[in-house]
Amino acid sequence: MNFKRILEHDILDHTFSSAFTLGGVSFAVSKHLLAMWAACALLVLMFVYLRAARGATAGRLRLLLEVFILYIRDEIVLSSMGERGRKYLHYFLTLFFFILACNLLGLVPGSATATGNIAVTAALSLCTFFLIHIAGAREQGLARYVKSIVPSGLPGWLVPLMFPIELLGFFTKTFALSIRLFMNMIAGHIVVLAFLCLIFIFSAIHPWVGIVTAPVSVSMSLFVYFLELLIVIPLQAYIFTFLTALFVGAAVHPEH
Amino acid sequence: MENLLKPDIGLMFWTLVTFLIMVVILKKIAWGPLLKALEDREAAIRGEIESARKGRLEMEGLKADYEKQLAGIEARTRQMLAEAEQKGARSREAVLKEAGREARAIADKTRQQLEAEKERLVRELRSQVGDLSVGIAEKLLRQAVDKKLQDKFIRDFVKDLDSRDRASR
Repeated sequence: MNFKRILEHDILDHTFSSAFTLGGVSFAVSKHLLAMWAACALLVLMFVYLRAARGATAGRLRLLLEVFILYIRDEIVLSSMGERGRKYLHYFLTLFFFILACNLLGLVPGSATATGNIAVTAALSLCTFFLIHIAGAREQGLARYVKSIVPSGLPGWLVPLMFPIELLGFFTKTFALSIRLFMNMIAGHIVVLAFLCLIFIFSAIHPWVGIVTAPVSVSMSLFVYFLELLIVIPLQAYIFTFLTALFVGAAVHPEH
Repeated sequence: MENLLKPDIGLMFWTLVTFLIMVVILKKIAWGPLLKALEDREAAIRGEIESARKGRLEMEGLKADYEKQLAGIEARTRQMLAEAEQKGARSREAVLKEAGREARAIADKTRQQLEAEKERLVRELRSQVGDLSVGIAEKLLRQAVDKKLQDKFIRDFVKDLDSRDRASR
């Protein structure tokens, strides 16, 4: 019984076959990549179904999605970026539903949580990083955007000091973004695994102790599972989207 | 476990590619139609609210119009009533005055007629009385007094009566 091995098996990625290798970096197909593709395929299927279907179920699903879409549009994107946010709305909607789908798929037994991999969250926050600068330069013009990185109204001698600090701020903000999502996703899984492993650890002492532990462990891990399903997963998708919108909004409107 | 915090460049690349492709695909198949439907519905609702408000404004305008018209009609009615009343009062007064004048005229005429009648009667009476008394006196004085004296006597008597009558009046 090795908890570390179990964790490695369940939390870490597993490479199946290397598609191709370039400069020592292997672009391999792995468990997390497959899970991500599956989540994307489910999303695409769902929307294709929604476009084609006309029944009551499709109507209810559409209503549910509209609630999310309206919330993202009005409370996240338009409230932080103003009317200019409409151009980027589809990016934020995709971001939210992409993260939500990956998170949810991770709760299916036998599957894997792609967003519980630092590479995936790092790639997503890299997209956020670039979007901040692209949107800022596009909406304000490159020169004005670079100038607006340093807050206006600062004494002149502070500018050389503040500019690197603000630049560093972009990296820390997006880095925190990736770490937050990644940690939140694996933390719940680790807790579930830990509760389940308790059964085996205690049954190593004596089988009866293990049997007594089992109901407690199972109910606790179920509790954590539902906590993840109902609170952590939507919340993390929301937080990632909301913070990205906030950062992009700050780059688009430097005065706020 | 050391690999937990070491991002795999290959997976990062695949994630970037997948995510960006998803952005494009979902924009085309999902957000475009869904957002358009939402916005259309919102626009329709806004239009309905707008038209309802316009209708209400119109109704209010009509109501105000009607009220104004009603008030005008009422005012005109009042005015006409007041005018009619005035006219009635005026004509009543005129009728009354006319009637009073006529009545007075009739009374005056009657009084005059009465006066004239009375005078005529008095004169008649007086001459009859004169005749009568002369007759009586004649009967009494037939023998003694001659006709001439008799006439003088009557004249004097009548004059005396006249003066007495004038004095008594």
